[in-house]
Amino acid sequence: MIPSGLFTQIALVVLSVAVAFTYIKPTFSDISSSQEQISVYQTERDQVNSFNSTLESKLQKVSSVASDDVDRLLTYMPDRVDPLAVMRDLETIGIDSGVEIQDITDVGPVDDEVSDLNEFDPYAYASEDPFASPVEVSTGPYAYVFTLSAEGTYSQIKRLVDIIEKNNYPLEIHKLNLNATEGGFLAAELTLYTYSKDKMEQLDSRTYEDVNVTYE
Amino acid sequence: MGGSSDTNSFIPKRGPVKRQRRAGSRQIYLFTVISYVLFSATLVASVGVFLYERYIEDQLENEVEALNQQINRYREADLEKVRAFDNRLVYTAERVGVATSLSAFFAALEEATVVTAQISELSMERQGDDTYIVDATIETDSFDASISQREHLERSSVFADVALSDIDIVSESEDSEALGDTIKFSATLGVPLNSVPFVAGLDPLEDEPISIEAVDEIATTTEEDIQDDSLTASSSIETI
Repeated sequence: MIPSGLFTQIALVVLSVAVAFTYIKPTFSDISSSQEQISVYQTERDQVNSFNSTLESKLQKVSSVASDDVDRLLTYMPDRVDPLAVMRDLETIGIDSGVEIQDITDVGPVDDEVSDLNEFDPYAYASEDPFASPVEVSTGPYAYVFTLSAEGTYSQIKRLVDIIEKNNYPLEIHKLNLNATEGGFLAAELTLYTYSKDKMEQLDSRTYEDVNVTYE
Repeated sequence: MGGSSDTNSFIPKRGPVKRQRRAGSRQIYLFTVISYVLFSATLVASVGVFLYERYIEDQLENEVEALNQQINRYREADLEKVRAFDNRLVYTAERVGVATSLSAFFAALEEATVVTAQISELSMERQGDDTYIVDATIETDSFDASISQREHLERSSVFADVALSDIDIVSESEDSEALGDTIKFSATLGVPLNSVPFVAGLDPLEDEPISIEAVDEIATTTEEDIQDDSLTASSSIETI
């Protein structure tokens, strides 16, 4: 005859094993998974925190720049080129230099090579990892072309070039043709490049095409 | 008898009975111990695991909440503002870095032009952010002056890859039998952008243009060199 205590002991052992396999072990797995998640969340939180801190510090730097300097920077590299303003400036420069302006033409923006990456998305991800750091794609600055024809003496032409290169925003002379004319004057044709931060077509539809000012 | 019976009896005498008290003993079975220990350990482990799981879950929730708070701190507009400013600075630095001074080019050209040479046409084109290619049509009154002109251009630190081409002798009058009243040729020059960098600091409206007198002074200096060179060249021509 088997004593009843033995049944109890066997039942306890079976119950213990059953609890261990049906509750303790799965719970341990859950705990392990949760700990891994906690580790991931901590890492991500640290990264986000670091990013936010960096962003705040850079924002403070941006805000600490003197307004005059910001204005000068905006003048030098505007969001977009205002063709009429540039042509007005070219006319003023021509008058200041003493040359006789023949013609000022708005040629328009230069079509640069389009990047393989999506140029409208300044942040393109280098991998499929959603936590990967974004890679910034630099596509600018964007050039805008004007031509200027003028007549004057050699000194006046030099003065014209001198004022152009000291302008508040870049007016790069990419082409220059000088030809002697009658009376000791020179005919000058200049192709000038100026730049903007953003591409003109992306900003608005307010574009000026084929603006040509001819001086009689 | 009684005494003999006491001494001669074959029945072994027994002393007073001393009952050995058997120590109380319990049988302890190993299986029983194991089963109880195992069950107790299971109970303790279950409670411990349950509590630890609650703790870990709370910790996970806290981490998620903390991450969400950090994410909510981030503002796209701030990033756009910083990025736009950074792009503007980078673009500006890029263009300032390759800013050139054509005034410096003209100054170098004046310095490298001999007094008997005359530039009738000049065209220049910028090749990217590397160099200017300059084509100039130059007229001189003699081969000596042309050679001297070429040497001046080659000696200049501003110009590179000096090449003369399309050399032509133009007579002023058709009746003249003299060779080469005017030597006309094209000069192609490379001007690296870094050789004519723009130097900021001068107010263009206060900066007076170079006067004709100043140009003449420069030309006078080069004329002496020309004369020296011409002597050598003249003797060579006489020899020929």
